[in-house]
Amino acid sequence: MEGIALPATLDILTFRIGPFLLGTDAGPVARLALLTSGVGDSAPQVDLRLWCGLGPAAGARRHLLVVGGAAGEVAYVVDQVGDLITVNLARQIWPLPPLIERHKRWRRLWGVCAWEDELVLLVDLVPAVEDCRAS
Amino acid sequence: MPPDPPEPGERILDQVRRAREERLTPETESGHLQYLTVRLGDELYALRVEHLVEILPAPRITRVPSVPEHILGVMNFRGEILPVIDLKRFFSLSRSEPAADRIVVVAKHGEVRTGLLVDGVGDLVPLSPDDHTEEPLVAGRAQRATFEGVARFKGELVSLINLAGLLQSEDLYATGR
Repeated sequence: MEGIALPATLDILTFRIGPFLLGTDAGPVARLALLTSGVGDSAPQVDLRLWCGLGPAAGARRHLLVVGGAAGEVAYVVDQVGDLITVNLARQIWPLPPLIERHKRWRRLWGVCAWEDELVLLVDLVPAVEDCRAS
Repeated sequence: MPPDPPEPGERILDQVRRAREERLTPETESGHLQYLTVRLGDELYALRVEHLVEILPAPRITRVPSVPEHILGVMNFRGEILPVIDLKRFFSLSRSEPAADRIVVVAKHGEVRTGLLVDGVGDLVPLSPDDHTEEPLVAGRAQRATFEGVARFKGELVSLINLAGLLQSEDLYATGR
């Protein structure tokens, strides 16, 4: 029986929330849009600044990152969409250090990825059922 | 042209290497333990040399959301992702932003390595348990388990950090600091 070949790389979409550089698996990202006043995506919106413990953004043009999953779609509001990067799973991704893992209050943080001379914090944005009920 | 000045920490690491070659660390022949002094603001602290892995200029530190402010973030240390603790903030000494010329001491306890952000590193000093006092000066500001005690060095009081106690301290995991 032939084994299943696992992918050696992962496509990650990076984005910024305040001072934080984050990234998420690009696979479930359905679309990107500009957040404009009064007009939004039909998917429930979740402002990631709140999840990062930051106050509301003042006056900046922000973006919607719409992620889909079995439970539905959620439009995450981010400060800035970054790059689509491809990283080697074995060489460029690590779990969070135990101190951070034990301490994190944002449970969806799961790892760290090295990209050029930066570290990107990896977050799982695939919506859960309760996210899709958000408004 | 004059030679480049040594990297921060290189002088101390040279001392550590020489001391190890002479098999004087972590305990000297006279029963003294070797400590590395580190400065946090106006105060002097010390770590046992056996915990010391590396001393380096503060590298790029990636901030992590929703962690207490004394956990500055993570750094890439030779391909290993380490958390970085701002000792000044942990000991409630300052809330100022880290200066560009600060130093990270990479320390280990067991298999756990952690970056400790300090204002500067000093000397390797031999201290005897007889030099320790009973009560850490910082009692009340952090748990006593974080310190072995206080010693006097060149007329200055030195708080001796218990790295194991610090890494296991509930204060490290407190969210409301």
